[in-house]
This record gives sequence, C-alpha cells and structure tokens, in this order.
Amino acid sequence: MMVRALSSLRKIATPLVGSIRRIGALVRKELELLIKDRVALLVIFLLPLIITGAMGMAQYRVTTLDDYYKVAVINQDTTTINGTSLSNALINEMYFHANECIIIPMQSYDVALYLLWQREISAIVVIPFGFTSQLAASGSGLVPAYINMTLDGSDVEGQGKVISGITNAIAQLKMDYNYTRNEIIPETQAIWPSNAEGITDISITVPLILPMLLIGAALVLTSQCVVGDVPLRRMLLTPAGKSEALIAKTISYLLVAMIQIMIVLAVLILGYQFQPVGSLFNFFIVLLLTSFFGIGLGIFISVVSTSRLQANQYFIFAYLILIVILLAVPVKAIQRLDPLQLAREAISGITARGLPIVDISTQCLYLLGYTGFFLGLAFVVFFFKKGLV
Amino acid sequence: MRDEFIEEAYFSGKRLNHAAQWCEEREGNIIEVEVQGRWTETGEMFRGRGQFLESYTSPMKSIIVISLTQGRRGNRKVNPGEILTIGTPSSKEDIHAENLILRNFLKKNLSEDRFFDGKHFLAATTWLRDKLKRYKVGVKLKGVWEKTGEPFTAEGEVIGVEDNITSSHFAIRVKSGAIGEKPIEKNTIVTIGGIGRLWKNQNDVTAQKILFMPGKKPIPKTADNVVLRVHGLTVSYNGRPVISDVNFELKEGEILGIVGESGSGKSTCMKAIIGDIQPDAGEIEICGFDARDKDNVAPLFGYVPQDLSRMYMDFTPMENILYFGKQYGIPELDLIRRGKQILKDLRIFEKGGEKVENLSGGEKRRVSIAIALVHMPKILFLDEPSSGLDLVRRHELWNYLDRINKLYGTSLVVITHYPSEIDYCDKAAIFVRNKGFVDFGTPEQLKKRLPGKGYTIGLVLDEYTPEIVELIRSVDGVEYVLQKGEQLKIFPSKENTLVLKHILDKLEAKKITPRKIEPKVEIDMDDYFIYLTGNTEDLD
Repeated sequence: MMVRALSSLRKIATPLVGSIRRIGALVRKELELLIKDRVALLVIFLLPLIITGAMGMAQYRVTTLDDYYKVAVINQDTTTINGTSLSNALINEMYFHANECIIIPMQSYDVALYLLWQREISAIVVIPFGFTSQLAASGSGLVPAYINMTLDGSDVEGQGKVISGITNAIAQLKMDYNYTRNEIIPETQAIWPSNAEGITDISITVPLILPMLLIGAALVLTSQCVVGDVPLRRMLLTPAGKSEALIAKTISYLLVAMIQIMIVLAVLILGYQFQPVGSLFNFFIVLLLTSFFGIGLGIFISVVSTSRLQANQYFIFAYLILIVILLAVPVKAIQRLDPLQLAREAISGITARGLPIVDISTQCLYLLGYTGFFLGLAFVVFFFKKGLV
Repeated sequence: MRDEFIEEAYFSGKRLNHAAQWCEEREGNIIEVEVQGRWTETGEMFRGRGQFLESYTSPMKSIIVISLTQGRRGNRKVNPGEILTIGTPSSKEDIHAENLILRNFLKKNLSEDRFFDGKHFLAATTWLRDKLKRYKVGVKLKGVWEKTGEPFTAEGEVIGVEDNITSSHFAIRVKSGAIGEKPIEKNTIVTIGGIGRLWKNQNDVTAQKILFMPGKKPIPKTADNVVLRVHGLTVSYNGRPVISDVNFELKEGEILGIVGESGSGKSTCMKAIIGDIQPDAGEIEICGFDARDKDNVAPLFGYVPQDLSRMYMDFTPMENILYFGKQYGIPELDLIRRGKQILKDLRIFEKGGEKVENLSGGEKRRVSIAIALVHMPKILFLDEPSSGLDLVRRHELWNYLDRINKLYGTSLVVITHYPSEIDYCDKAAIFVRNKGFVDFGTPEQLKKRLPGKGYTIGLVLDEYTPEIVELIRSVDGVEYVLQKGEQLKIFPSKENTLVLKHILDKLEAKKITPRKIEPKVEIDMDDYFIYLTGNTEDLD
C-alpha cells in the first residue's frame, strides 16, 4: 500500500520536478538576457536613481479622501454686525454643510494643535477676531475676511474632505448673506503629526511618484518580453511549455523588481534620510505589489501584441490612462479604482501614517486582483495563440 | 558496422601510448579496438575486439579500456561485455598488447556510458552524483571483496552515492555477480569504495574498474525503422485548404527534402509535423509516437528555423546551447561536453565564446544547427537553410548536413525551394503552388514517373521561334517541351527514338536541320520541377 502510494506520488512529482527545473533554467536565461541588455540595465538601475533623485526636489501638496474627519473649530471672533455674529453663522453652516466632517468647537488653539499632533483630530479651523466686521466691510470692496485651516499633512485623504466641507459651509454662508465674490478666503497649512517625526518633503512625493516609477519601469521592461522574445518561439518546441515560459518571465521580472525597489529604498534612506512611519518591510511589500501589477499588465500587453511597435503603443496607451485617471479625472469613485491611486494610498498609509498591512489590505487586494486578472488573461491568450514558429 | 569505418591505424604493443593518443584525438567517435596479445594473469594468447571506452596516458604508462564484443583467450571464449584494460607488454593490465588495430567509424558515440578506473574514484562519485539526479544508473564493476581479498565482479544498479571530503562511496543493488567463484544473491546491497591513498576503504568492495551506464528513456523502434510517418495530412487556413492528403515516410538515417515554390504549403506541412499548427485531418507519427504527444515527441526532434534571429544574439553559441539544452533536462556538464563536440564537428568551436550577433551568416546557421542537435534528436527539421545562399555556400551547407547525418545518424527533413538540392537527399516530397502536395519518392523514382521515364530528347537548333517550338509540341508522342538555354528538352510519352523520328520528319519538312541531336538526355531535378509545375495531372 505504502509502496503504491509512493509510486503514484513519484508519478506526480517527476513531471513537476522536470517543470520546475525547466522554469529555473528559463529564469536564469531571462536574468542573463537582462544583464546583457544595456537598455534594460538602464531601466533597472539608472531610471530609479534619476527619478528618486528628482523626487527630492519636488514639492507637492497632496489631497485625497476619507470618510469622517474631526475638525476643531476655534472661534476668536467677537465682533458683530447688527447684533449678528457671522462667525457663529459660519460654524452653524459647518454643522450642516461640511459633509463628512464632525465639527468640534474648541477654545484653545494649543490644545487643538496637540490633538492634531496626536492624530485625535484631522484639522483645526480658526476664525480670527474681526471676522464678522471684516466680512461686513469686504462687501464694499475692501480686504476679504480670512479663516485659517491647519491640516494633517500626513493624512492626504482627509485634507481634501476637510477643505471641501469647509468650502461648502462658506458657500452656504455667502448665499445666505448675499455675498457673491471672494469675500471669505480659507488659508491652509499642513503640519505633520508627532509620530511622523523626521518626515521631510520627499515623504510627500514618495506616495505619488513611486507607483508611477515602479509601474512605468515594469511596463518598459515587460511590455515586449513575449512579443520581442523571438527565440522563445523556438524554445516552445522543446519540452518547455507556454505556461512555464510565462511563469519564468514573471519570476524573473519580480526578481528584477525586488532589486529595483531595493535601489530606490537605498537612495531614499541613505540619500534623503527617509524613514517611513510604518514598517520598512510592509513598505517593501507594497512597492513589490505595485511593481507586480506593472509586470502583470506588461506581460499581458506583450502577449496580445503582434509586433514590438504595437506593444509600445499599447504600453504608452495603458500608462497614460493610468496617469490621466489619477491626475485628471475628477470622479473620485473612478480615481479610487486606479492602480496608481491604490498604490499611492497604500504607500502613504505606511510611510506617513504607519498603518499596518491589514489596514491597507483593501488597496493591496485590489492591486493583487488586477495583477491576477491581467496575468490570467495573458496565460489564456498565450495558450490559444497559434503559429508561433 | 565493419563496412562503415573510415580510418584504420596499426600500432605495436610497445607504442600503446601513441594508440591511446590516437583514440583521444578522436574522442566522441565510435572506435573499435582489435587487439592481439597475452592474457596477463595466465600468459595465454588473446585475440579479440571491443569498443573503446577510455584511455589513460602518462609518461610512465598508457592504458586503453575496452568493452569486449568478442574475444578468445587460448581456446576459451571470453564473455562479451567484459571490461578489459590493455597495457604494454610489461604492464599489469588485463591484456599485454602485442598488436593493435584501431578503427574510427564515421559515427558519433551517442552513449552516455562512462568508465572510471578505481584510482579515480572521487571523479567517479562526483560524476555519479550529478547523473543520479536525473537518471537511473546501471553499473558494471570489478574489484576486491574487502573481507576476504577475493575478486569481486558484479552488474547492478546504483542506489545511492555519498560524495564529500571525508567519505566517498556509492551503493549498488546487485543483479548478478560473484565473489571469487561464489555467485552473489540477487538484490544484495553492496557498498563500493575506491582505492584511497589517504584513507582506508571501509566499504564492502574496493573498486578497480567501474563502468556506469545511465539509463535514458529508450526510444521505441518501429518495425520498419520509420522515424517519421505522415498519412493523409490536411491543413486549412481560414477554411481554405493549404495542403491536403499529404503522405510520406522517412526511415532512420535518411534525408528527406521537402521542395516547392513559395506558398506551395511546404512550410505549413513542416509546422503541422512539429506541432506548431493543428492539422484538420491526418496522422503524424514521430518514432511511433503521435506528434501531438509533446512530452514524448519534443525530445525526439530538433528544429532549425529559417530565421536566424531565433536564437539569443546577445549570448555566445555555448550559452545558447546551454539554455536550449536545459529544457530537455540534460545536466549542464553533459551539455558543455556535447556542445563542444558539436561545435567542433560543425567547425565553429573557436567561435564558441563569441556573441552570436558577431558571427557571419554561415556561422550563425551552424550555431542554430548545433542548438537543435544538442539533445541528440532522431530527426532534425531544417526550414529553408539554404535560402539566400550562393551556390558555393549552399554546397558547403549541404556538406555539413551530410556530415551531421553520417556522424550522428540523425534523419534530416530539409525544406528547400531549390529542386537541384534534392540530389543531396534520399527522398523528396514535392509541393506545387495551388496544388499542394503532388508526389513523394526517391529522386530516381520521381524522375522515372515522368514521361520519358527520366530521359528527354535533346535538340539544339540554330534558331528558336515560337512556331518551331509549337511545331515540335504538336508532334505525336511529345508530352512537354522545355527550352533550357540553347537546348530543347522534349519529354516523350512514347519510346524516345520513335518520337525523335517524328520530330525530325516534321522539322525536315520545314527545312530545319538541328545542330545537335541527343536521343536520351537524363533529366535533372530542375527539369523535373519545371515540368511538374505545369503538368501535375499527368503524373502516374
């Protein structure tokens, strides 16, 4: 009985071992090919260095979404007009029209700042002394009335919500009191919470630029990996199967992506003293998932293309779509499905807010799902592709 | 085997070192050693012959090792298959050679068998460790049973090996063997050690001679030695038949030319055979396996594409050989050894370390062939290898193909659109545009199927006008008139001399006298093909 079981186990294991050996040999071949390809080396090593370097010079204000945000409102205005306090009216508007914000009236700016520092609240709105009188005067074309907003710079999602909510409330107030121009101007500044100590400017650009870099680099490397691998067609006449060839390519490019990510991390940490608030390992995993998505999409493009030129066109088209959705599509529901946006949220969650991987699991699963979808499609298309020789 | 040898050399027993060197220079070929001398142990006369396995040369002594095919010591027959060492008259080897005749056959030794002397035991275990990862390894062994000091001989299978600095030995399961005169029980496990200088062997046996025989998956032989059989092959493209009812077969060691114009379906036929496109109907067998059975069929054939870019240009020839060869599960060391040998045989060994992209077109073509040969396929498919080459290069290429065919015994299937290249082939399958597959046979058979049975009537006239050609065409018994330079080649449907008489009568009536008349001109494959492209319906 035991012998029979072992024998059937061997029958299953033998082809599997053969397949693993073939994949191993193909992976080695792919890596050696990359090492000998100067353009690929440029993409693997130089591109991350240049772009990561350039990130250090970039300044960027980040705005993104979330659900409910606590906003401390400090009313320092004691002036009135005809017995009416417009600052109180504004706070009332905030209660009703600052959607997705919870308005908490407070007295002390220092306490509010401490709470913001401790991540207890997302923003502080200060209505300064003289707000009402200034607003009354601004109707005759004088200086407009200002309110000051201090935002959690690490919470890129929350900033947009708070600004949008407060702007809504201001708009309502202006409507109620017949103001039609820019009589009320919110001034904003962002601060970094206590546990984000040491974060520099590069921390703001990392979540935006890194996904673009990693997905772009993966696409450059992989979008021609099948259509451009002319000898592969000959290789497929050996015992090597189509699925083995694609698995080997995926593994090879994942290994390359790991090297690329390590270079990027080395530049960030050594060059810019960058320290993510969360775990470095989680940061690495999220970056790898981001690259993996690029690899999946690239391999899919490479499989469906019939020429190198077509692969280039598909690659540019796909990359542009991802960027346009991220930067130019105002519909947040769509933007939120963009892999670049997902990667950005996941990266900022770890680097700026120190979230554990569980808290960004939705983004990670979405990224993995996209990757699986494209890779799966690539396998199916490649399997049915005819006339390779 | 005896009729095929290409080289023979005689050496006296005293010049055994030269004989050993001769064998080493021809490494990889099948070499037969015929030896006459004395059986060292008893001093009896010995005569025999066997296959060369290994040779060792040093300034002090030289040894040649053979696997005996037949031999006699005194009046007794020696068992075939016995491993014997041949030394000089003063040595202690099994045989003192007095005279040696060595024969180098024009065939590669494709066997993976490997002999080791007991003194090279570490090399043996290192080699064995690598082989055991992939193959079952049989073994023939001679040595000493350590407990009693009696001679030990056995045949069996290796079941394990330990190979490290402190300990080096392997274990075998005995199928048959003896300790002294006493037979060993079947399936006895015996551990084998080497002749160590630094340690004492603590195993059952100290090996003196070891022959390892890696057991590769045997290739089934079809009854009639057919390696490729195509029957009723039909392939359509977008509902339009490209080729239909293709039938041919190829025996082991033969060369098949697939000849046809561009677009006649010859490449489609090859693609269907190698499994790149799915046929609509028909059967394809490679060495008895259905061609769709990729696991069994892929190791049996090699493919040389027309496009030279189908190898890695950034790699060296050797790296290409390694990466393609590994897909067949061949160990790296074997691939390197085989690769070197093939590159030597194709005369590009010295280019083995250069990038493929830096090689000339002819060298690239040979590298491409070497890649396809590294797993020692039974059939090698070549897609238009001579396309774009001038006449001299084509001839050179065919010489290489012929060399491969003879050295490795590989059957070749070569696509070409030059009919004259069929003369290099044993058989030809003919494809014609818009008609697909039209005929198959040896070049002689094909020619004989034409009117005139391989011969035409040759006429040279002073002038050619369409009227004269039309006049000849209208003669009773003239099937086809081919103008080739100055000469008219006339395919007769009746007996040549009779038709010639009719032609001359007609020409005489018009007062035309031919400058030269040849009643029987043998046709070549170009004539055959030109005839065929217009007259396929008339074939037998």
